[in-house]
Amino acid sequence: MSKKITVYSNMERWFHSHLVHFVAFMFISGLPVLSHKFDFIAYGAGIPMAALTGNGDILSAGMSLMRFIHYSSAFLLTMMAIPFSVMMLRKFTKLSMWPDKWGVKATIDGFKEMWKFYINQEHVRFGKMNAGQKFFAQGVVIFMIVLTVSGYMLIFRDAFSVETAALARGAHAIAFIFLSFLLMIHVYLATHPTNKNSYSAMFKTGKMDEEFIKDHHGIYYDKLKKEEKIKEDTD
Amino acid sequence: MGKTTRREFLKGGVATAAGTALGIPNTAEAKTVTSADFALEKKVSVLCRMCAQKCPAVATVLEGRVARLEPNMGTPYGAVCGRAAGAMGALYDPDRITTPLIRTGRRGEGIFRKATWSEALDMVAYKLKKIREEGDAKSVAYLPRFSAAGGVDKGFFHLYGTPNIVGYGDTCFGSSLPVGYGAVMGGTKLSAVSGPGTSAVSTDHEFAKYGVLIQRNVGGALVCHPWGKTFGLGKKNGMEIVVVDPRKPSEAGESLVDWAPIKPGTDEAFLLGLLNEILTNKYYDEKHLRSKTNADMLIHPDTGLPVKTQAIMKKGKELEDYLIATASGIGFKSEEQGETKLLGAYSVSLDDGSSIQCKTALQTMVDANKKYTATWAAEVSTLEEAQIKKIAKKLNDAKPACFIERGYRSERYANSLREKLLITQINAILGVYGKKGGVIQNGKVKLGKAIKVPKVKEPNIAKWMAKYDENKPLINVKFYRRAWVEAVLTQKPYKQRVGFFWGQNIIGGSTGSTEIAKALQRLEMMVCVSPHWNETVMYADVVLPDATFMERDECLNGKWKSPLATLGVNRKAVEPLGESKDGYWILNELARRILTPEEHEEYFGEYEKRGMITFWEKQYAGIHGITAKEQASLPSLQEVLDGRVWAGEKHYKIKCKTKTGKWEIYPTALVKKYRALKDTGNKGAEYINPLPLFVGPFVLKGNKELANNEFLPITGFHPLGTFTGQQTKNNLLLKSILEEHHADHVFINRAKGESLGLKDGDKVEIFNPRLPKIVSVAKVKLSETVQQNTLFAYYGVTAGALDNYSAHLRNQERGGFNPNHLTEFLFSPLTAGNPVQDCTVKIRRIS
Amino acid sequence: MSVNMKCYDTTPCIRCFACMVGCSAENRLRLQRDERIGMEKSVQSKLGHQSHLTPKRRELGVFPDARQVTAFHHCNHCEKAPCLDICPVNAITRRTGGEVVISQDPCIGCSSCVDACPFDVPVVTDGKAYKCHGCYDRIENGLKPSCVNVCPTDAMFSGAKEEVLKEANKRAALYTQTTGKEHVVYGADKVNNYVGTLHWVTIIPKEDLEAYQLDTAPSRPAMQFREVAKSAGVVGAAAIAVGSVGHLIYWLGKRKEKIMQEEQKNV
Repeated sequence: MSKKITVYSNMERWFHSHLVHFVAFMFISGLPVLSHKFDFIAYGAGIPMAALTGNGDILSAGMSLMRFIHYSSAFLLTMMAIPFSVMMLRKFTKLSMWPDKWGVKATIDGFKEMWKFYINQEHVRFGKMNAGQKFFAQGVVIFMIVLTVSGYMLIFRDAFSVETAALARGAHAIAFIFLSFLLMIHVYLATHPTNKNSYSAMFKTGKMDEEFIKDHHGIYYDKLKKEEKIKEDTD
Repeated sequence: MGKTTRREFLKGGVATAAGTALGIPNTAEAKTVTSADFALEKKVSVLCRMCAQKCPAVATVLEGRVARLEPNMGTPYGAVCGRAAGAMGALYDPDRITTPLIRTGRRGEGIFRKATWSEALDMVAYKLKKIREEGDAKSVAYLPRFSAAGGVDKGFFHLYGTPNIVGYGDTCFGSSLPVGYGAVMGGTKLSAVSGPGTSAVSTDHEFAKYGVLIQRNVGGALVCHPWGKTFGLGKKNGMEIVVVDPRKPSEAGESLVDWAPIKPGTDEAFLLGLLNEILTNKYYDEKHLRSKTNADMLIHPDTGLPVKTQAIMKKGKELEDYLIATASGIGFKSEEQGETKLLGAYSVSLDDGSSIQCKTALQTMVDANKKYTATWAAEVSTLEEAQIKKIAKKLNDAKPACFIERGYRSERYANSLREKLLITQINAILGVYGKKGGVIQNGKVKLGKAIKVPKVKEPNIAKWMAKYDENKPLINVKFYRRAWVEAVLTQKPYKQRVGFFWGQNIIGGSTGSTEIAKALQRLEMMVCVSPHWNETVMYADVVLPDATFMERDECLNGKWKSPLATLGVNRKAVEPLGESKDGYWILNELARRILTPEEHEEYFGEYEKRGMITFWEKQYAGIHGITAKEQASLPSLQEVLDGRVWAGEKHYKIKCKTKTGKWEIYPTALVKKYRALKDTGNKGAEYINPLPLFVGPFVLKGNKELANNEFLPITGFHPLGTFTGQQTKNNLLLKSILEEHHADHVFINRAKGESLGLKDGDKVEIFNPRLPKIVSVAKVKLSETVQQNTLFAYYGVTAGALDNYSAHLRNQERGGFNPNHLTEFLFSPLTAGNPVQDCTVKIRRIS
Repeated sequence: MSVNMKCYDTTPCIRCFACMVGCSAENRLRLQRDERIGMEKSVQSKLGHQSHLTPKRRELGVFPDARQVTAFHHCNHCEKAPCLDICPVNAITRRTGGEVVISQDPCIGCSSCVDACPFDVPVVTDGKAYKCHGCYDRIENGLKPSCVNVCPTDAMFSGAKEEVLKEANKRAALYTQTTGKEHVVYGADKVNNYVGTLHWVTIIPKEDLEAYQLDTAPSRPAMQFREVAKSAGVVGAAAIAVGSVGHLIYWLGKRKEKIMQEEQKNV
């Protein structure tokens, strides 16, 4: 059996798995405010809510519950995000989301590599994250910041002009929609058979086979070796 | 609609099924209100007294509360303003006086204890009865405002024995207006004046083509029925307006309106310049001048009177006929049909055989007015000469469908009388009187007397003053409240012991407040009947809380400032709040305590048994003064009591009561008075000089330059403010709009204010340099719509310098500017008017 | 019931504010009728959210060519009411007479309508949104809206849309003739795509549109982008879903192919 290398810390995994819950909550509770196409969610919640609270209007009872869920999830998520952000900021410059090599050509090459891997199923050498993952991570950070800032602005909207609040509402929705795109791709690729190893590393063990890393994330492997996180087998 | 449909579907499908099962109503759509909800509303006809104008209105009563006030459309001019719409704020004012109060502190301190009605009434009645028994009834003065017992209150006080029923109009419409108007149109004997006041004529705005708003701003100032309404209709019909005002009032509208930002106090100069333009350019219709006016009257050069007169009879009336000149010679007016000479001087042979050169009246005026050119007027008034010329031209183009607004609450300067005279003269020359789109006679329904009492033989204070006080020969004998104050102070002609104020706020509403307050200290007793706190109530020994108009039945009313004779009545919508009582109840209780039982039985016995109907029947039975056709269309008393307002027809006419039967653009009545005053060496004589000459206000005498921080104060009504403001102060329904307009600020020209280092919102102290100890504190608003020399404040919005009463009002801030509080106790010469703005004020910033 | 329209005519208006006071008083009447708050109580606070017609006065120009213009601030009952569309709980509905009405019962105070309204109309107080409801209760019972009812000078009038437009156009033509300035009926024609035509129109000199703060391009760009993003969201999400499935099928096929190739190689 090959050696296992820790790629995700416990903290990262803990954060990720809870992030999934909260984002799901926020997703579901936010959708009916975004569009009437998701009214069914609020109606669903509203029928028992209306019965319990005596609020006569089902949609509005459901929407109130959705808002409660949205606000409380947002609050808990923020609480949770603070230590995580602090941790991440401390190794800000070393984060995997930054490119291994900067520059336009390097970026294009990165995507070419992805094409080779995901389309041609050729063997390629990625870092810990490939170009797509890096872009994804950057996008998530940006959109999360926009969502957080605009979200809190909307909660404390009295402190702003109506125009500013409207801007925040627009930004909140737009950032959400883009984030949704990213998350859809993320979920797809994460659950893709080829990424079985990564998936179980994130959700189960935090570890990956050294062989797998060597095979798929050659650049990352080299880096780990350089940092002496992996000792070359002497035998 | 797609969404609604889906929603309907969901509601109908899932939600309603579940909801109904759970007993939950669906309320997403706003509640549908059915006619049943509206059927609960009870309608009561009232005459709005949010100001004094009694606009016919309908009060909605819902669950025992007045919940709405809307216009009564029974008259073609049915209209109410924002004050009326906010009447509930005054009715349910949490700081209303709702129990009788007896003073426990010093007078003016405003410390009272609650009392029962019987205690308070006994206290008042004891004093009044004692004075009556002493035979000194005349030392009791009754000072009503829009009293709660109209139609009966004055009768009661006459019955009591006092001739001193002291009206408030001397500070408003009662002094210069009747003299200035009556001098030209007759109707005043020019002594002991009680001639045509504000309610004599109306402007026919509806059909006017051009108008000069001067001294008054129809939109902002009161009288919504019918003046505010007709003004708006006029604007709709294309009436063009020029506003001659140191402040541009928004209420005049923003289209078809010009602004002439005149320097305060110079209206007389502007009007002289305007007259000059009209005379020089012959902006008059000669035929009109010949037929309607005395322009062609030949004037004796020495006396200033018609050179020769004869008495003639016309339509059963004796009139004075006068000499005129024609191409064929000199003759009497009544005997000449041809073209009389309007201008020039003609040789007239006198009875003694001598002959004399006589100018026509118009020529006399032209010559006297010659030096007051538009150039001169522009210089004095700070207006553009071209603008004055343009106004004259426009009047000429529009005549007779044009007008110069005759002013109202415009008792402001020593020379107010001259302004009113000039306005009447110019209007008469232009021929606007009685014409469509001009100025027309008001109609009225003359009513029978609700209570008929014997006349008091003794003359009242004003009548005495008219005769013996050389400064007040033209005093109004009905409206003389400030002259009454003088009588209290001087004890001349006789002592005043009791002031009985019903709704009248003499301290807040008339010039020289501090001196007036001093006078009130000298009274043996001071009674105030009022539901609202004001400066004067603070001085009362006994305060009796009467009901507001929405809480009382009243006598019939037949007099409005309307060209249509109108009949209506104010009915009780709700029971009086707390322990407050309607005025007739209060009066009857006083009558029972003060009069002899026999007198009381004779005058009030029927009222005690049958109530208000006894007064209504008498008034209705005595209706007269309307045409037969109108009489035929009059509704029954019951219909009127049920809330029907009746209005007669519009008559394009004007009453002329001069001796000659002509509109005396050359006022011969003034000539006589002027000469008589001159002969006695009266210093004020020039104020009634019959010729169009400049006299000016006190404040511009000597042409002194204003200091840098010195201003000429002016005030104007806010459309949501009232007089001294009892009903509109402390009223939250009105307050947010007043605040949005900075109505509690003083307004100063922006460039001028900035040159003094002032910013919006700065606090300043304002004082009259002649009375530097009384200081007002107000916030400043810099404005481009105020003339440079002007300090403008909305009237009756703020508490002013004497603001301790505002401690009783939770929604009324202290401070602000009320010019009455800062002015000296002065009278306009001859008319004993109220020169409230005839002073300067200085400001200094509070750092 | 025909569609109703209200018209404010700036020319005969004497700026008496009866309409505005009348509005706030009428809403107090409703508080008494519906919420059981007696008039004597409700007059003891300003209740700004119950004043659906408010003045916005400002001074324009420099002395002596200056004036104070009072803009009337109110709901326009837009043909395409953005507030109605955005309200997540459907608390805003259109009555048969065309009035756009917020029902406070279902309203959750989310302020979406505030953000969507390009005229800055709805206000949220104590968790509920308020704005002019067009006096739909009065209109549905054959009465005039309160502001119209109390207007002394015909500066406000209302009725069936066609009749109001007819009168408004007639007046505008008259004023154009009497003043020599072109008068328009703001809101009678489509203002823009965001709001469409208005059910509250204003007769005004064309040159004064800005002075009276009548927006000829009422918009809330952030909200409009939001709508675009929503549509893009549907397209984007569908594209990603299709793409993912397509890729998975392709990838599995290719992998099978590769494995077979491997096997062949091995064989």
